[in-house]
Amino acid sequence: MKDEGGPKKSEPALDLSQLEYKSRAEAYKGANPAFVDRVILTSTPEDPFLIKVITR
Amino acid sequence: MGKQAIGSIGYNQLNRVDTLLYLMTYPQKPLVKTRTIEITNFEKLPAGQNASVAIMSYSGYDIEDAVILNRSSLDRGFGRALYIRRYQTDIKKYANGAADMIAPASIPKEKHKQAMFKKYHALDETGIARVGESLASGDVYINKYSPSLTNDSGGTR
Repeated sequence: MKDEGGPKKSEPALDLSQLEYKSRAEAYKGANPAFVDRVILTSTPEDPFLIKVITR
Repeated sequence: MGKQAIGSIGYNQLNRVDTLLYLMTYPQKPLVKTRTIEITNFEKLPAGQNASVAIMSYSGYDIEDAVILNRSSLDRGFGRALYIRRYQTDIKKYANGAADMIAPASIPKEKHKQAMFKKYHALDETGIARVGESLASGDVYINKYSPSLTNDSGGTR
């Protein structure tokens, strides 16, 4: 699909089941190895679904 | 409390959710106390260790702000500290109704042992790292996927 600048309003509704996904995996970058201590699934007014991983 | 050093933070220190928290692994109660120590309850939240120190200074000019440590003391935990760090990701929802998702890594069973897939070892069946797993540099702890189309017009591809 080509981008012709500006939104195209007459486009049919997007078929979500046909969406392609790309990997956005979060990788640990610490210099020293760590252990996963806690995992918190939560939400804030800004982020409806927030995952916190606490390492030790 | 009050000292500018790594020590203990509070009774809730292992339940807190700080971005970075430094703690002393084996803090000790002071061997002697002052009136101030009693008033501030310092003994209940110690910030240091009782070191046995022996210094022989030849001229008085040779040591300042330095200490020579006993190797075995370090092995037994003297001066040991740890840090607790928080990493977080939000699972976004986009204007076109699409959303990020988390999923376990899809690796064919016979390839599980291959080195290039080792980075997924910490994940559980939800795609998030399991509590207790070890993480080395490069290991994935949240296996997130984002949709390639995130707006109504379909502009970004």
